[in-house]
Amino acid sequence: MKSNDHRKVMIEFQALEKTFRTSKGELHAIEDLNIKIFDKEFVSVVGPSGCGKTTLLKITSGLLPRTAGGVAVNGSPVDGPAKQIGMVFQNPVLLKWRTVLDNILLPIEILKLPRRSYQEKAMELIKLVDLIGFENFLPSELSGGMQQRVSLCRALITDPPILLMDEPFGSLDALTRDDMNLELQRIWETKKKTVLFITHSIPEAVFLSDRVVVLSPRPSKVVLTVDVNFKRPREPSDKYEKEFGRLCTLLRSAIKK
Amino acid sequence: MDEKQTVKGLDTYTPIKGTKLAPFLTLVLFLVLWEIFVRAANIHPIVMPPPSVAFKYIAFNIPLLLDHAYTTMNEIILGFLLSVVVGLTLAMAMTHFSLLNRALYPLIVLSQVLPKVAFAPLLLLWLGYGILPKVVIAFTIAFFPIVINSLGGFTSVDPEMLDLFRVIQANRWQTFLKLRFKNALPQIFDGLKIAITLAVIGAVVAEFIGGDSGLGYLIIVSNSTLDTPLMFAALIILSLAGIILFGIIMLIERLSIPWSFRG
Repeated sequence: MKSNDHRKVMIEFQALEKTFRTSKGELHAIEDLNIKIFDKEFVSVVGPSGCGKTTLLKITSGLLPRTAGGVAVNGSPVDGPAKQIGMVFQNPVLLKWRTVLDNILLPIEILKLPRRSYQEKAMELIKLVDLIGFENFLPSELSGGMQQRVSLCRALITDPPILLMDEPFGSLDALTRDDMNLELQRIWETKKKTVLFITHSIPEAVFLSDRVVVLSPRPSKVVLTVDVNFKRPREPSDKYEKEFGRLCTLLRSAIKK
Repeated sequence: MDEKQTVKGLDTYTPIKGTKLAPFLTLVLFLVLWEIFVRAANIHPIVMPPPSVAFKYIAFNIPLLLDHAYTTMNEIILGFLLSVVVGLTLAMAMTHFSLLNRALYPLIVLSQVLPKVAFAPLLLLWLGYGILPKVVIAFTIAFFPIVINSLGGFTSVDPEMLDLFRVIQANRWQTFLKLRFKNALPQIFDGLKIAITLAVIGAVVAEFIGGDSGLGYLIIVSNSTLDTPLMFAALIILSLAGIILFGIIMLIERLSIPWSFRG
């Protein structure tokens, strides 16, 4: 990791702290959390459920304010949603009255950018995620995996340097999930984004990431960081390699229930 | 492409033959049974005319009936449109200002539990005997389901959707137009369908109490002169008007939210 330090830091958490005020008193979600994510790096965060992974992502995207500490994205502190971040949610959250193409162009419309000049780009993205021929379909006419690919296109349409992904494949079946992992790897290789990826699945985290961070139960802090040095592009068969299994076991034992 | 086979909704839904005719058949059956009942029981037309007599009456008095129907339609449509404008505006404001929501909600409920029949004479006193009090009474009944349904639709948005709109930096107005409003449309149309039938009731009740024309007025007058066929003729025209108005709303609904009729 130290050898990476000359690279540009894209996301940085410094002594981050988050406390929720609830009706039953204060809930300490995140405590003294420190992570640095470098340019074009793919970092996954795993941890027991309810440990504040989604909270971490929401703070990064500016959806939630932090209680203390620092969050910087691309060098500037986060104080609200920013253009340089694309986000993929747990669910595809597509507008059911809009076609695939119009869903992808939603951020363009919101930012009042010229639709025509982005239409071509949207078509490129549709091609990238292998959805050609579906651009005029409504979300209800697509499978879950296809819907999530549309939401990935929507996150990429403004070409943000950073992509935040909140368990995007959590609701897909295992086979579709494996396909989506391969596809995401391919897209990441083409687009070269900095990715912060939240997941429950350890094999998924190892397969996709340059680095996997394990969080502790609430209040969350980093308990382990593991570098994954498998050469890219990775093959599904890599999951049966001894080293892959070793990393998974290492990570699993670090996750306390 | 394997995936093309997983696409849902490609097989178009074909209704069973005759499904579209079903409502007409029940109507015809109803009229036939009515005719048979009145004739078999030998009921005097002053008590209840058979449909054949009522329709004959309509045929011979078309200009009179249309004239009165025109008045009532005007009241219904104006009252309804007013309730749409006021209802949607109120619901929109209440969505964005929770203080307003809390302050107005009890008043809106109060306005609805207050019996309009008891309230109508007061309105006539205040607003005179022209078209205005009828429009206002139709409006006061019709706006309630519009406010309640729109408010429900505007506020029942998936929180993750709202997060999405914040992440892509949409402002309040964009979020309202492109998310909340669109999302609420099916519920708004449900409200509009209830509202249009209530507007019909409102206009007729207003005419009962203080009208000098309109189908409601015709019903009251025919009742006092025991001209029951005229009363039935007016009732039939009134129901036709109500059904046509309801149908128009349904048509607009189909055209403006096709996505909620698929799959």
